[in-house]
Amino acid sequence: MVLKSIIYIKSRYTLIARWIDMLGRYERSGISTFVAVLLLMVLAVSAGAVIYAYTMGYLGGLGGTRTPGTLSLDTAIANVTSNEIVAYVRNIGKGSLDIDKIYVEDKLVPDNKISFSGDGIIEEGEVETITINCTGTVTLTSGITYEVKIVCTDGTHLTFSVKGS
Amino acid sequence: MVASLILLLIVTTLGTFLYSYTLTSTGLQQDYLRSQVELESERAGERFRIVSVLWLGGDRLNVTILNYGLIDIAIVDVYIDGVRVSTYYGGRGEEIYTSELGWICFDSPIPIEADSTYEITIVSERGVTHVYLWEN
Repeated sequence: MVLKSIIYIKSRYTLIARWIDMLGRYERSGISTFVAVLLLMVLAVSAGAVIYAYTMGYLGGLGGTRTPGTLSLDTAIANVTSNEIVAYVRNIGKGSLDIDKIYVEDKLVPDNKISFSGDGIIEEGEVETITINCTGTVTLTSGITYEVKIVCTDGTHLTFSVKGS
Repeated sequence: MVASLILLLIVTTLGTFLYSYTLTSTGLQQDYLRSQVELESERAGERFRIVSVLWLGGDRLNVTILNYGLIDIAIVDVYIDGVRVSTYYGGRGEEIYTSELGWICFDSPIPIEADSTYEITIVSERGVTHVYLWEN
């Protein structure tokens, strides 16, 4: 029983197959469909891997693969005379951070009212001085606490409170 | 059969792409979380305070700091009344070991006067702050 099965499998899945013409002669030799499918599958998977490797170069860095950094507040003052908030913000995380938007009391501060000691990009371990001119956004009053939110382009954000003085 | 193989090719490519993408993404998230937990635990282990402030004349101050926390620290910045100090004479960024005293000497960015009160903020390299009200 075992011997018969082996013989059957061997004849069915033999590597060499022959095409027979209408007169019953051998026309040319080829490979069996089983091996052909196997080869094509290998080719398809290899091609897929090559295409993947090629496209990953372009698409691999797109969206979702960047993690936010960490911001920390050193100190901040809200000067009611000049109506300005000065904040010293430190990057204690990995990678540089690019400050994008700033909100005071949930109101967006226009870009032209914000100035930086540098270029607005905080490198690892560095401190940036941010001066926020609140004119047109809020009027700072002595003794009142204001909530400031700083948002970076990668989603990193820092929220702190500062009292007007 | 060719159609099946084309489909197989598409499915394999997309599957590999999706697998690799999610693997990279989740790996990055895990690394981020791990580093955040590590940073926060280190920050939580920091305990330091100013034990004395010595006025050396002019605007020069010498501040002594005690590290009574679980981890070594380094003071990297000082602020006087919310203004950052820019001139240091020593002690900045130097390691202060646990249960030891350290010092930092600098010029105050605002004039130091007798019988006045100043708010001194010291900041460690991990961003932990300590605020001290100094009465001169």
